[in-house]
Amino acid sequence: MKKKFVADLFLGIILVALLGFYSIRLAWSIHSIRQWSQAARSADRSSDLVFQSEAGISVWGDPVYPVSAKQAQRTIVFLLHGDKIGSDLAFWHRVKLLVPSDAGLRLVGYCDGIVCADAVRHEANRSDFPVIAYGEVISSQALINADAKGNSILRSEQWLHSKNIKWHTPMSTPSIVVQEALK
Amino acid sequence: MISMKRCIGVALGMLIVLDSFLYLQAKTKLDHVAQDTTILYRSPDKTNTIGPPDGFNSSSIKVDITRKSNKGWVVRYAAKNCEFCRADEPRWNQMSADLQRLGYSVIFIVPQASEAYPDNSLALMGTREEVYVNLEWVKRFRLSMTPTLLIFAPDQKLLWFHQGALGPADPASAFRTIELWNHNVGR
Repeated sequence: MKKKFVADLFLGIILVALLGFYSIRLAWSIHSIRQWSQAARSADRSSDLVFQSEAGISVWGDPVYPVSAKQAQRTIVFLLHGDKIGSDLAFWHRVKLLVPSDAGLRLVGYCDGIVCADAVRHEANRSDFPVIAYGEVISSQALINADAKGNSILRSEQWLHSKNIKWHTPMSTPSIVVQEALK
Repeated sequence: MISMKRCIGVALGMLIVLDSFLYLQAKTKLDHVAQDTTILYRSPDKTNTIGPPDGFNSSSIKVDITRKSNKGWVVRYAAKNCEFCRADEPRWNQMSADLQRLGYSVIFIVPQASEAYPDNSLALMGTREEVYVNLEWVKRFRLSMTPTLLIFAPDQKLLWFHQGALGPADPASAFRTIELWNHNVGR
């Protein structure tokens, strides 16, 4: 009789512990789903998508490869907008001119669509930096999210995290961007 | 002794009720997320139409996205190393075959080159894979979860989508929507 009682008690305690553990797991899952959906919904403002690599296909149809740390210490990636492509290209050509040749800074542009790609292709002087029309989805989205806040992305193979540099805001100038990128 | 037994009985009863409630909550939230348009669309205007995504495969070769018939197309955003994609693969393979039988072309998009499927992968049967995708297309959607399935009607409007692994009821839901669309436009 006593043995049976102890066995029942033991079984009861195990069941309570299991169900309690299951409750905690479920509550944690609900919390995670809520957090994820909030973050995903506000992806334009705060996203955890991280720019991975500037690999892609340029507006001229050539592959663009990510460079090794030996070739460039830093890369700055930015989105070019079809609706103001003239001023965007002028801005980044100016940045390119201001970057000392031994600074190890690489510029990579991304076109936001067909208008931009056509304009870049028809430029009198072919851009002195690659312009990607087809990119990896994660990196393209990270750049689109950064751009929604007026930013370009500065990254290095040696860094754990990339940095944002404001560029299409009234206060930004090519020289400020270069200073920030070489800091 | 008896009161201790009763305590455990009450605790068990309460935990069963609590777990059932939490399970239903989690399921409702997951279902909501899977169909939440505010998560999917980057652009709030969802009445716009959009063509199939054009892009390049991992060998930097342009992917032919010409449709075989005047049917819609399907985009599956998935990754080789994603465990949820592997989990729903049997259901997806069946759904993909059925969609192709209906004339829908299937395009795989992977998040990044390292997540591309091997050429002979079962997951890609009869489909095309894009690694580098046109930004014009990418900027329309927030593809933040693998797998995500988007089904587009022949009129280039998004017909049905699902974020996350396909559940048992999802294929039927998708085909019902396609049927309804066909019925409404008289095809």
